[in-house]
Amino acid sequence: MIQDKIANLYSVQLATGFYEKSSPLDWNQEKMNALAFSVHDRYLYAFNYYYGTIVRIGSDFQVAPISLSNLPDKGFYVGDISVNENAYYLYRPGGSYGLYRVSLDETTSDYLQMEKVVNGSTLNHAIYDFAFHPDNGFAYAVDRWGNLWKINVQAGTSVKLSNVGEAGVFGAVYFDVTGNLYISRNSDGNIFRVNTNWDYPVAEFFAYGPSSSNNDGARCALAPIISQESPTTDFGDAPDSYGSSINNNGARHDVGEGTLFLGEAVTSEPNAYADNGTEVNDNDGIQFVTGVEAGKTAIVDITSSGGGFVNAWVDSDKDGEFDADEQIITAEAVTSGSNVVAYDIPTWAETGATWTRFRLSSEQNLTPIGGVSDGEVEDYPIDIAEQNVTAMHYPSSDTWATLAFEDNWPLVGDYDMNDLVVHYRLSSYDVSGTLMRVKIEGEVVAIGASYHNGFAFRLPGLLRSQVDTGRLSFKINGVEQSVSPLEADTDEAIFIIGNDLWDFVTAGENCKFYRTESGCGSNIQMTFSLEIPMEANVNKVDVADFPYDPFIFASEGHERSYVFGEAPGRRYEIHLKNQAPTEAFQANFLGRGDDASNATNGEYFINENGMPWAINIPYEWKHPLEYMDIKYAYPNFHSFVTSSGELNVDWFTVEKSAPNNVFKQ
Amino acid sequence: MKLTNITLVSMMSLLMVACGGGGSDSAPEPAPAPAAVVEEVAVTVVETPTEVVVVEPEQQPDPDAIYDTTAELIAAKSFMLDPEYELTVSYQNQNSRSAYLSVCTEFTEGQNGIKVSYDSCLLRTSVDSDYKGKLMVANDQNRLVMAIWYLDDTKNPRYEIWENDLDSNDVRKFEVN
Repeated sequence: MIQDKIANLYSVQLATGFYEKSSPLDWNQEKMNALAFSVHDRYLYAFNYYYGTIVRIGSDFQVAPISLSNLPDKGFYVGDISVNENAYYLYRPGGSYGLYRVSLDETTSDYLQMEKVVNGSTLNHAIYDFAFHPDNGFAYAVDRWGNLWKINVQAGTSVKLSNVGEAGVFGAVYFDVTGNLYISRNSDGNIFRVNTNWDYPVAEFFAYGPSSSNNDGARCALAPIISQESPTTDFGDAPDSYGSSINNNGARHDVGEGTLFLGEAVTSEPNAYADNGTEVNDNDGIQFVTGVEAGKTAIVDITSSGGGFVNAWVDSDKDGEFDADEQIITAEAVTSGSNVVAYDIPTWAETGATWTRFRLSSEQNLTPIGGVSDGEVEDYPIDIAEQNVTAMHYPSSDTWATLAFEDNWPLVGDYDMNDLVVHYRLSSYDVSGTLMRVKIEGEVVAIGASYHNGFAFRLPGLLRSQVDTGRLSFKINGVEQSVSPLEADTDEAIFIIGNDLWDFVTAGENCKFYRTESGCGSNIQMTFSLEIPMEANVNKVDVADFPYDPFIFASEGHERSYVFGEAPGRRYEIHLKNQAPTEAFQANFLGRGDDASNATNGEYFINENGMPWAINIPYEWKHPLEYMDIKYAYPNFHSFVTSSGELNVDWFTVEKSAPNNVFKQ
Repeated sequence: MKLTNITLVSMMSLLMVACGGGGSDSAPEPAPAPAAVVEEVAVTVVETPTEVVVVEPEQQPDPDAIYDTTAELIAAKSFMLDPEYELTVSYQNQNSRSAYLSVCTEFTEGQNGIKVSYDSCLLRTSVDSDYKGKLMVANDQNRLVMAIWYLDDTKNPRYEIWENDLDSNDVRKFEVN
């Protein structure tokens, strides 16, 4: 983009409005306008007021005047180079001027001839720039009253498509490859996006850009508006219904010089949800120092790298959008370091999981969407809780515990403890001892066995009838499931995460199992989350403590070991040590094979050595490799067991593992 | 409690032997006279306590034993293998101030005071009066912080740090007054 009386050439990040001066300090060029980028020779062209003719600008900023025949004696501030033909079109309204065509194609007979297409009183528009569509050959412009014109440059005619709803001097307009027209208003620098594919295109606010009295811009209409190779934009992480990706005009900030950000860092990415190519988690600027409770004041600690303004929203009605009445912090001035800000959550806020968005910028007033030239956006998933709630988390609110199963029960297995490995965390919410909700989240980390297992949680002490099934939420891989996880035909509340986990994950290429063999790493293929609201009057003390009762069961129709004459199906269960089976279990399975359960003593799912088929570790545990005895992956495990927990209490940590014997992604 | 249960079970099986019962599945014969049972109970109760321990088939874990494989490993039947400990948390809210209390594992102590990562909390609760609760803490977490934010003075939170005494066998308590 070109601006100023002594011309300066700026690079503008359209997505965010961020700009920086590209031309050298000693460029010393007079005012230029009608800037155009040629997709044919990849030079910039402009009308130069010093030379009184058009100039060609190279990537080295060398300015070469081009003499034209038939040149009028007045400057041009409207111009662009067609994408479909190598010709520069210049326009100025009024009877003495009009629309002119200059061929830039050396092979044509009219090379560098200025030809008038139409008189400026016939094609008479108060426009300040136009831009060629990437493929239909028409030029588009928005006049000072906001009328969008589609101009046929060969015929010199125009059609009004719509009024875009924004008026002013749009001195720089650009197209992107998908047909979006970006119009930049001189007075305030605001950039609007006009989708010309719509039947009646209107302007959406898009970004806060630089303002100027004279202004012209050009871009390659064939390029996407954010570089995939070297992005400079920070996006949020909330689902796209909130406006996160570029397609949905998502909240985005130019990282620019990287001086104004939340927390310790900001990284740029090509789009929302895209990998930023680093391990850096730049969502680090907001600490929710209190919980978020409907109808109460909450406090956040905002860490800023410098002075700016924070605007923030909570989706209190959980409709997937940040509405105007959901803004919790408005233009709060912050300074470098810690900024403690109190805000109110409306009484009508709905409890449960939702999203928040925090935006920091030197721009004072921001909406939840659109681009801005500096700062950072951080989106956080949060829980809105009932008033005066007590939340307990196991092992903590953002770490995982691990369940590791040997699934050869009732026969002793190989103790690689990876036949099924699940990460999980639990949360309970109570108000003065009345249990309101329970949350179960997890991911299936490894399956190192060919048996087919289901996985479930029982909440001992909770009855099926005490669960508010209407508000129950069950998601697999983030998708709400239509099937209720609550097991039918039982009195107890049992939540089936999956009837056969092999339905959700696959072994790697040339691998027998899922994430247990060396060289068989893959992404996590199954995550789950359950929000379990209670009917009134469930006493928390009546329900078991963490970790409740996670267990596996045999999938229907799949054979087990010789101990069972037929596929045992749901009647077969494996629980943590000394955890009684559920009412669906077939009691006479106990004691078969190597099982030495003794129900009378409360001893279940142990062998005669007192060893279980399942262990629980309140830690994101790295499981042993396939066929690797846990002893060789965790050399201190035996001592922990033989000392009944007196010695080597931290045997399970990564520091205490034998690195070559645990599975690595 | 557990020993008592074992005792009772063993007593009952001894009783059955003493009464001449051979299991109930194939014996439709009438049960022995209750009077005889009562008398024999009195005799057995005195004699059995030492025998019970001997008869008990559990293999006791040996802290000094070295096993080549986990298949040989012996665990106490009552030992749950959970690598975590119980912590009771209490906070005395002197003036019943409206506050928000968090107990978390991750925090830093720097020049600008304590910074808590509130994603690492085990407990988060509004408090208008005293609080008392019980947490399960992973064995690798031996330092916890309690952060108390007062809603009537949001600029001056209070932080208390608790450290686990690994040598103590007492119930762990994190008490803040």
